[in-house]
Amino acid sequence: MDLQDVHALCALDRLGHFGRAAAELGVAQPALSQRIARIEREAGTPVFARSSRGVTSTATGALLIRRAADVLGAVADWEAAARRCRAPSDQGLRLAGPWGLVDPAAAQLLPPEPAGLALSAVGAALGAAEASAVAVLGPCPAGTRSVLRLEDVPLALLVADAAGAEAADDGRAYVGVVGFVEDPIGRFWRPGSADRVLLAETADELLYYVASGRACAVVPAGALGDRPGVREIPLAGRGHAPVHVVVRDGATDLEAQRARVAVRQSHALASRPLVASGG
Amino acid sequence: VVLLRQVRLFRDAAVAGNLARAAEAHLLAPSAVGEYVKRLESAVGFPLLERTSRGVRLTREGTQLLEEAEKVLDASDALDLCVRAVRSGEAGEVRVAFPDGCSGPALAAVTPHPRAVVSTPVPVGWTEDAARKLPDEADLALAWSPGGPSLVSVPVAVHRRVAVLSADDPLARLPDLTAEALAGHVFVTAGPAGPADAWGPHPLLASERLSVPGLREAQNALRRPGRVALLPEPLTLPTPAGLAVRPCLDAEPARLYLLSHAATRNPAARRIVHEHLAAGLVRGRAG
Repeated sequence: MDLQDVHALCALDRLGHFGRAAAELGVAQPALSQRIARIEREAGTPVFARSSRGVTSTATGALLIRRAADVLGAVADWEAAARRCRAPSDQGLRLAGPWGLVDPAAAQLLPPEPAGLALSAVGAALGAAEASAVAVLGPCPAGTRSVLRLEDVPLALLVADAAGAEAADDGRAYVGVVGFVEDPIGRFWRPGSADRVLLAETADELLYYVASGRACAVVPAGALGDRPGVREIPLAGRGHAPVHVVVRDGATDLEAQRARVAVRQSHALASRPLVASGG
Repeated sequence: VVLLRQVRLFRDAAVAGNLARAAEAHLLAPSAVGEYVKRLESAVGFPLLERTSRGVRLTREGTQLLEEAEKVLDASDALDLCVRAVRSGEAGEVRVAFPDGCSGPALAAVTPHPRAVVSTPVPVGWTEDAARKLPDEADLALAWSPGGPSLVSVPVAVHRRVAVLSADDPLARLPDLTAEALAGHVFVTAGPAGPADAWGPHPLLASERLSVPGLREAQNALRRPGRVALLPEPLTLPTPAGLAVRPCLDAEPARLYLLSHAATRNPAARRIVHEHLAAGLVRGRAG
């Protein structure tokens, strides 16, 4: 029996009428009758009892129809699985990124945990399949390739609340979450007087350094929200950094496509429109 | 449109890791297997197998769909098995017409695959011949005598007889009865030919005989001393007040026949009859 037989059995059983079943299946009624007749020859016994009122399954037919319905259920599961593979939104794409770049507002797409992932862990996260794709600031880490370059992520200088705008040039150290420090600052913005760079593993550690007045930090603007004891100074003009979405070198085109779509959607959901150009 | 054949070839190629080996099992060319998988891939919209130097390997999506493919194929195999079981008569509906009083054990005796065969009992009561239900209302019938020329009759069981008589009858005090002891009694039979045979035939019935239409009348008739009915032993007949049931030692046993219409198209009914015929042949040879 093939799938068309299975569809024919189930539709005729459900609708109880050759004409209606044929219409639903999109075939001519004689074709459906012939198909059912062939199935009945194959089974050696009537599957349906015909009467003037319509068609009902025989007790023997019900045995077959129950199994035919199982096949349809399994095929529906197959098709749902195929849809999940095709559509990233219901696939639950795991996207990691430096904290602040991946917005928790996009939580249904992006599990919140990896959002604070540091750059040094990007390769590990991809390798361990913790994430299907990672958003990074700056160049792509080894073993990954960029599938999307998101431009114009505005950066801001994070300073202690009490400090003034001049804090950027007063000789204080700079601090960033690991991964924010090296490339974004090194390539796109480095205050001349910063003689020291501290590395903070977590957002809380970074906030501690800044709020206690030991350091300033460069972060994506608005990434931290309002925190007591610190404030942001927009870095107009030169305070922009490109963001790449990277996937493993070996990732398939489909995975790359899914990563691109998911990141775009996450930004749309987070109401943070970014100018994006395909990578 | 996804075809089961495509799913099967995808599964086989994925498990074998090799198009050629999957092709061999299906007597196809490897390129044909590749073609089937390619069509499946275009139906789902992404690659399922990656071609490598040594064969094929599941893609990430292919790994996810392989599990679903197994479920689809399991369900499809179960359906095909069911079709084969129906065609061979191992599964399917059999309507069995049976006389009152011989339902449970007798029905179990005629349906050798109680799990696979959907048996629909058709009780016919005492005064009706179960064989008359063939072939329209029943596929098989149980009867106490062989059927007519268009019917296949297979003896399926032999039952000892019990004597049913009035509790006031002097014979009712004996633990068991002989045919000789019953010789002076009037023999009561109920109903027309079929059910009446459950009450006979017996050489003793050549003596005086009282035919009544049904079971109720028979029970009433038996309340008078000097009357007796001979019934097959396993008949689960509730003994009415005022009657006694005693084993009848040397009465001729009752034979239960399985009848089917010679032209029955029900595979399950045909199979049951054939198995009883075969069992009878084996018993006959052994005897």
